[in-house]
Amino acid sequence: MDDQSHIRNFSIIAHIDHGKSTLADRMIEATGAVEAREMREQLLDSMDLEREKGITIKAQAVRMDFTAADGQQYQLNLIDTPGHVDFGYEVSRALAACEGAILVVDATQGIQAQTLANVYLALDLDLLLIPVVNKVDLPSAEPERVSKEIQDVIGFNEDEVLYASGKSGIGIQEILQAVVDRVPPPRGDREAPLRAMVFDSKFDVFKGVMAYVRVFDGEVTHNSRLRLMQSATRFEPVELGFFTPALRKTDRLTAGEVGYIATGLKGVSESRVGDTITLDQGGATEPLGGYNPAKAMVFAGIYPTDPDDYTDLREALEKLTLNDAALQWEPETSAALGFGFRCGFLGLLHMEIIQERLEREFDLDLIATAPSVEYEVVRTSGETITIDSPAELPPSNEVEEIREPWVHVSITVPARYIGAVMGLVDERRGEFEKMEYLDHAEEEGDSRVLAAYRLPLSEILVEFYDHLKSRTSGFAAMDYQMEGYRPARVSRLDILVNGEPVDALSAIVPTADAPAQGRKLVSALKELIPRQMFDVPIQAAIGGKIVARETVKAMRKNVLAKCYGGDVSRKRKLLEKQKAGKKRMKMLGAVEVPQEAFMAVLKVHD
Amino acid sequence: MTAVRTGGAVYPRRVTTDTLPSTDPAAPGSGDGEKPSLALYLHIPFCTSKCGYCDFNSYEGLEHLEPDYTPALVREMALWAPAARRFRVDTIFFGGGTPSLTSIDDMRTLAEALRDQFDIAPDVEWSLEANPTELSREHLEGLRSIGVNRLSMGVQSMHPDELELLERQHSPERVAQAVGDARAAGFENMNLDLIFGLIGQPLERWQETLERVLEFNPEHLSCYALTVEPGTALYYRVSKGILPEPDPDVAADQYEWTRARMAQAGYEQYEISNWAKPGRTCRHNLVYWHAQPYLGMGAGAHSFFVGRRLANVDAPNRYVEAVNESFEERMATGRAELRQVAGGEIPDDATLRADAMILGLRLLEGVSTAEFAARFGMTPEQAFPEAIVRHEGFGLIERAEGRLRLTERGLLLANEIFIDLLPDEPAPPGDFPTPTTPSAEA
Repeated sequence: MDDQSHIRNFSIIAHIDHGKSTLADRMIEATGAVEAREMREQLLDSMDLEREKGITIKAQAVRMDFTAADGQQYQLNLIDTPGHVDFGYEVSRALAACEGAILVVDATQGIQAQTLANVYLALDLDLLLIPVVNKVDLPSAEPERVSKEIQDVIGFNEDEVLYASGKSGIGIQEILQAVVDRVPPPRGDREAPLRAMVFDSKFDVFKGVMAYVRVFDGEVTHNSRLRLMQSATRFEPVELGFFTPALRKTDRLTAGEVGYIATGLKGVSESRVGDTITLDQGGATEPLGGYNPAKAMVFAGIYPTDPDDYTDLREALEKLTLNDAALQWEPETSAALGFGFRCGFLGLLHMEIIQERLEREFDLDLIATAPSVEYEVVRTSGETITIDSPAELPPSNEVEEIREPWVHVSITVPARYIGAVMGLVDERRGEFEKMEYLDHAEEEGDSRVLAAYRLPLSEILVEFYDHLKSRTSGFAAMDYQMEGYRPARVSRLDILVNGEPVDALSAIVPTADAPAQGRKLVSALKELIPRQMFDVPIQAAIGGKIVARETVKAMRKNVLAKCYGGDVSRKRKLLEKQKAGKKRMKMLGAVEVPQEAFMAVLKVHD
Repeated sequence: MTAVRTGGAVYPRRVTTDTLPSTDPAAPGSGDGEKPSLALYLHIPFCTSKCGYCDFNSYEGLEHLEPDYTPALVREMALWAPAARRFRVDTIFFGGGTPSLTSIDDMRTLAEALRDQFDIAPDVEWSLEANPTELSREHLEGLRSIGVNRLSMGVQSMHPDELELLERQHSPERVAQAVGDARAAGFENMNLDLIFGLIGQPLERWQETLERVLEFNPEHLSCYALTVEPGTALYYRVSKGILPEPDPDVAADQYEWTRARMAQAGYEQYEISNWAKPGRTCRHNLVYWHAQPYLGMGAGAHSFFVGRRLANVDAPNRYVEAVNESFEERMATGRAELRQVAGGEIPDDATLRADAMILGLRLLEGVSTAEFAARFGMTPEQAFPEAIVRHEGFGLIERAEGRLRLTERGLLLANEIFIDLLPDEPAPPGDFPTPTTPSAEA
């Protein structure tokens, strides 16, 4: 399109389950951009299933043609945002590709912490927001109350708020018209050298990395020679196009437009979210701002249960890295667990997803060690090092100072639970920052509150969210952002099993709390380690001094009582089952330890 | 075609009597013109009430199948007879279920069929499992008159509350009455079954049960630790937290006390769970532990016969149908597929060696190194070099007088050894074996 005044780029901001996808589907339908059934048929005609899976399932930006009230046709680009807290940076880049956003709030639930965090992000980026109260046709909907909440908390006027139902299609036309009317058109410089921002990238086996881009200045054609400014990677595009959501090839993408560039590159780490694509010759001199590649915040060791699977694990990690630039890993060796990998994740959820994909998609049996954050350690020599594993912590006499990462945590919750939340934050070394009411219900306790705290990241890694949920009957929602590093008084807690230190069970814990955590960890391990043929002492030590001890008593009885009617094979099956159970155990010296024991540290808060 | 696979080769459903080999490597007494020995097991799957801990192939509420069941057993005997006549039957065991529920008329029919179809030794040990609940003096006399000479009674406990926990229907007084009636009917060889290690059962309660049972002066006692078996009502209650799990340490204390008390009372422990007065060991059960051949008949019965492990179909109605079909085919054609055999295997050598050890070590005499070597061409130490050294190290096995046997500690930890004796990988499933040896009647 030659005219930027007829382009609108926008996102949808919504809490999980508030109906973002359904609303997006309705918009795509309403603009006539291919019906879902027709789309599938079209795709199957034009390409094989594998390509379809590689690309369109992950369509992140849909172009829609909309005829507005003025009778003119507009190009609307809807850019999707990742849905959870670990991917805050990706969200910020997707929003940065837009001039506006639709804020969707569930008429039965009201604003949630995560929504609000994204609202502030959008406002920081100068996006125009269109508030939409969704699901207005549900029996339990309270559109007026939620509308009031949106007006009070974010500062909209009453007449700015739209009402919709993705389910029945109410309000869709109004939303699309509001996008045209309210969202400003892009104002790029068409004559300037190309600058296109990567807001997402996916690996495709046929075309290499597909970079999803927003063109800010200039234009890109299928025969341009291109360069990624931050990674300094050069490439020639394999293909250009956009999504309707079906794949549409095109010759060029110009300033203001959104689409994809198939780069032919081998891994998404070469085309990171936030990077700027320009022309290799005569390109822009300044990249677009805001590049801040995703940084791992949570680290854990991942080991194959069966050492023979090490190579398979490496290959699986390589494959996952093709599509996930945020996943970091490097080989690591543990005296207890053998060869494995130290992996870095954006957050706990990211870690869980990766672990689950490794086990499910690659059929691997894994042991994960307890998650750790990255500490900054200032040595007495003045040198500062960063460590993400307890094993790397230098002896205390060589340490001048240790610093740990802190985060801002915002929590939305009905007022009656605020005491419970405060109690949890206190237990986790947290600080109160501020609290504000989002609304005023008839019952004081029903009013919703936004509370902000500061906590050490390490304290929210382990069972924080679960405890928050259970103490607030499931009502609380939370979001967090990095704040920075602060000095910490922490020590390494070592665990000895049968007299031998087990590196994979060590943890960095607050010094003041270390003996208590040692006792809890040791008693958790006592429950997790099965009885052996001999007594197994389990000890916790800080700086070589034993602070806690438990003993797993020797097993006394394991015998099948009866051999029923000569059924030898059944007896053998029972034994085979016990044998299979043992095979899944890891040998620590002569002690058989189940996988779960390496996550025992998760139990210290129970 | 269905086949059960448990290690060794898979044996197909299709088994015919005339494709079975004519010799049995596991049978003692081969050669010297003497007939090899065989044990017969007959399964009666009916119960008036299924006990909460029981995971055997037994059913309550299927009494309507009983009229068809006895004839089916008779026909199954006829189907096996051609292959089994080369053997001398030294023991017969009626197990269940509740064999004491079968009427004396039916029992007489079965006894006649046994004598018609098999070569029964004059000194046969003929056991029958009995439930004291509905056991009458008259019934006991009937059993005795048709040749049953050993009675095995399920007593389990002499405390009413424990019997209730186990969902047994009898009282301690009923046990005393039934034992007295059995003696009066002429049973001179009696076993009583007991269960220890009950949920919440302190040592003293078990001691009381055993002391009261010793007053009956039985020839044989089986004392089993309670096992919470998957699929049972008890398992459900434990897994849902309605009942706690049995405490293994208390069971171990009870077991150790039992060993001492039984020795003092003049019983010899000859197997992990079995004690007998001199000369009163159960010859039938010894066949299992010595890995010698036995032929099982009835629903869900198992056999180890001519080198094969076979299992009959569990469901009594399907069993009856399958036997009847096979029998009709036999009448029509002179040969028959044994449709009641639902699966089985031909154990490979590694499996047979493991079985010989796993079964043999249950006996207190242990496994004779020389006999093992004669049978398998290698000593146990050669067959299981690591496992034996490892468990000698833990003090679970010892070597004495040319035998390998469990130590006192090993008796309670036998599974720990057995697990290490299992072959690493069962042999890969190959083609179905096609026995080509001559028919049993040849």
